[in-house]
Amino acid sequence: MNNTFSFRRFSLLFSKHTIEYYKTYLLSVAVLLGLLTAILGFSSYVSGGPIHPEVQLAIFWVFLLGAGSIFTSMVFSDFGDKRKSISILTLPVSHFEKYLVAWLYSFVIFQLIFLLSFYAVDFIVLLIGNSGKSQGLKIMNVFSLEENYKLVFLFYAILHSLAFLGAIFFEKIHFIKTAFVVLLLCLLAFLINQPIADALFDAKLEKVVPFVSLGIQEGGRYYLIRPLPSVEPVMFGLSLTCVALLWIGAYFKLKEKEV
Amino acid sequence: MMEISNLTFGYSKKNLLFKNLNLKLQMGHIYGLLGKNGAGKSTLLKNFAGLVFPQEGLCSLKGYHSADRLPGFLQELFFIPEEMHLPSITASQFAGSTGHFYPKFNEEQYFKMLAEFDVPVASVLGKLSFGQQKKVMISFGLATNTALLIMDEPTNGLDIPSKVKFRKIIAGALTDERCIVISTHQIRDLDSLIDSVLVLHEQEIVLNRSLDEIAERLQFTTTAQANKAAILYEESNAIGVNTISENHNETFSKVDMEMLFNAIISGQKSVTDILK
Repeated sequence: MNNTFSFRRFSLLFSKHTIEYYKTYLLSVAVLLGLLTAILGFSSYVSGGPIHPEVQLAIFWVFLLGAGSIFTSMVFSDFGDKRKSISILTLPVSHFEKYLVAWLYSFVIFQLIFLLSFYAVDFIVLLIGNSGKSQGLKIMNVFSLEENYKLVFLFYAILHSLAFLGAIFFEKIHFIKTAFVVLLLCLLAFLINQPIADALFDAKLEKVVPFVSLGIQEGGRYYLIRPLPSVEPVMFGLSLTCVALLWIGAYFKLKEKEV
Repeated sequence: MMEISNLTFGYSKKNLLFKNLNLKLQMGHIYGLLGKNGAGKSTLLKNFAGLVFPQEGLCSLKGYHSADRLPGFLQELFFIPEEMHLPSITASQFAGSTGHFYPKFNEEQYFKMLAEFDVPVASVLGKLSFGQQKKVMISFGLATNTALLIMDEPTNGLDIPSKVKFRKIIAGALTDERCIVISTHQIRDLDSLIDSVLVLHEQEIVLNRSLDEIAERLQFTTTAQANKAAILYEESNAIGVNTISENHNETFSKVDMEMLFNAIISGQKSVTDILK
């Protein structure tokens, strides 16, 4: 018997999870559709018809990251309830299979459902907003090759990995606790970034933004230093490495879970 | 079967519940696990099931370590906790969604036991009363036919007729290929059900004997019937004084588990020494 992964066990677990939670998930999708309709509809109303693609993108960002991190934070909430965690932990499936079901639902399925929901609502709102206008506005393409819109998916992966680890690490109020820890880490990054940059550069520094840019005041001139485009793949790779490490951390935390 | 070697466990390092505990459970037996409140009965069962990890030592079942919680181990064990959660699906759907995980799950047996317990199969489990939920879990646990079935306070929440049915169903479900461990503080619920007694007291398993072995070595009688010189423990009640005495003349009496338990936890070393 393969005690790490069996496709049969995994599919049985996936179907058990779906049977037990589909009502909650359908209700969540209905809430998401309602909120998207309200916000996109309100934006269309305020702008007097169609919504500019940049506004559509902003709404896409806020909703994907907000709803996604809240949903992910709750994906292991059953492990925080002693009664529920006993039945989950003693179910004859491997830790990896349990992990994979939660990961698939919160990372892959959530993004698919979100894309479908957003575009369905956006399409209808734009259709109504553009009606009667000779030159309507286009629907925003988040996969556009010309614009750097896809960055949202990298941010989602980063937030997902943080929320995913927080979901299994904390027993209760996962979202608030994870958000608090992330805020503390961000604050710490800002606080230690300035002294590190001061130590590296023999100049008067201004606006030192971690991982983004550095402003230098010298000889009455101001220089803004930003990473070269050639460094972007390194930044991208580092971000993905952090995401992978947090996902791996979540797996080991799940293995260590006790009641 | 289930083997516990040098198990040391505590929720904190300073406050240990068990220290170097050793135990072997054999197939074909129903063990009654007794202990005072807070003695660690539920925690010991959680150690069996790999729900908590020991500080030292290990629990193993059929070559698997319980703390690894591998599927091969979990297929051989079913744990019915004192308080449980059942999903918002019917008893039939539950069999369909969860039974497949246990290779020896017998759906027919499950529905038969539900019928014996008078549990409606079409009702949503989450909406059933606590007692009804417990009956569903007991039926499901027995129908999984796992090598080890662990029940923590299974009779809590059951009414008197259900307790009678529980005893009957459990007795009928025991085979040579399975072992059942029942933890309870309601010792009378285990009367005529268990064949072996485990007593957990002051970090140790102070008793692990079959009822037959206990009856061979101890005699449970009234003061009048007892050999005064061999009395080890006395307990008075409304109708007189009952005693535990050493069984010198091979007269077999019914083991009074409640009195035996009281004798052990009251520190009667002579009783435990004889049973060692």
